[in-house]
Amino acid sequence: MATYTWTLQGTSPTTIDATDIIQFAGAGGFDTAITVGSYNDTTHVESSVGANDSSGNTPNNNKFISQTGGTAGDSQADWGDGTEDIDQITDAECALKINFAHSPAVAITNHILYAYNGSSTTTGPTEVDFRVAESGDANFTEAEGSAAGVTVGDSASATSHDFFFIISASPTTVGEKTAFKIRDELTYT
Amino acid sequence: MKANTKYTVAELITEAGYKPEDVVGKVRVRIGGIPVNDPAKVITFQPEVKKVEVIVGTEAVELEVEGVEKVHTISEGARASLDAEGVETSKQVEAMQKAKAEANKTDEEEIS
Repeated sequence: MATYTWTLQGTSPTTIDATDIIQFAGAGGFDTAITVGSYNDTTHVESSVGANDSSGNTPNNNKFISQTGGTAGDSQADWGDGTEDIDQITDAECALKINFAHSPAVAITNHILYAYNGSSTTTGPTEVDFRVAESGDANFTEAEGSAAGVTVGDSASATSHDFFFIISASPTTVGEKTAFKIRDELTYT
Repeated sequence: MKANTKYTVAELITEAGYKPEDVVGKVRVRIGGIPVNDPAKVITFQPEVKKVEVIVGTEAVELEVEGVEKVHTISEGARASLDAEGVETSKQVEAMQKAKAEANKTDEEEIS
């Protein structure tokens, strides 16, 4: 049987359940706004009834800084230590961890992660710039819609597969962005 | 080879005793259950992996994985492969940003 577990990493992990919301927020913390054109200063897990599920877990935050401003054109982000090239991040510093487990062992291929508008997977989120990179990538992908998803490396046969992602988002207009979901697709054989 | 590491197909095929240019894309190749036809493709060995089966044509070789890296590690070949992918990705991002800017300009013109 297969299990899919999403986690917002931090001092302690917060499991992201299917009905939960990954909340990208401003420097003021949970439920605070991000200025248009800026990227998230904090990241949280919000329950379906609006509770701060990651309160007390000191969740990680990954903030997009530049697409090619780093060494040799690497992307840059701030994950709490100032601006760094994203290929320097450790798995533990990534905000999002996705575990896929299956017994017996399976290999993972055709793995992509992207944001969409909540109704059509081919359409990007509404009025949001979404950047994502797998841990180890040199550059961010603007993963908006399934065709633009970040390509995740294949994983050789195992019963438990961990994938780590740097995720960051920016509003392009004012107001809460709800036409914005993140989807992970993979093939296991 | 160590677990908790990313390698390229070329590195793994070489480790299995073959020349990548002789087999990848020419005969059936599978590594750890993954069908491959690109020597630059990156494959992750999860921490639990202890052996990896490499199938080349009708032959099978088992690679022993010697221990686990404490921190997720990226081989030299995989680093080069990911860097090259990143250059292409950034070009796509640039094109997407331009398209968005154009679309916004059109929207603004329609509103005014």
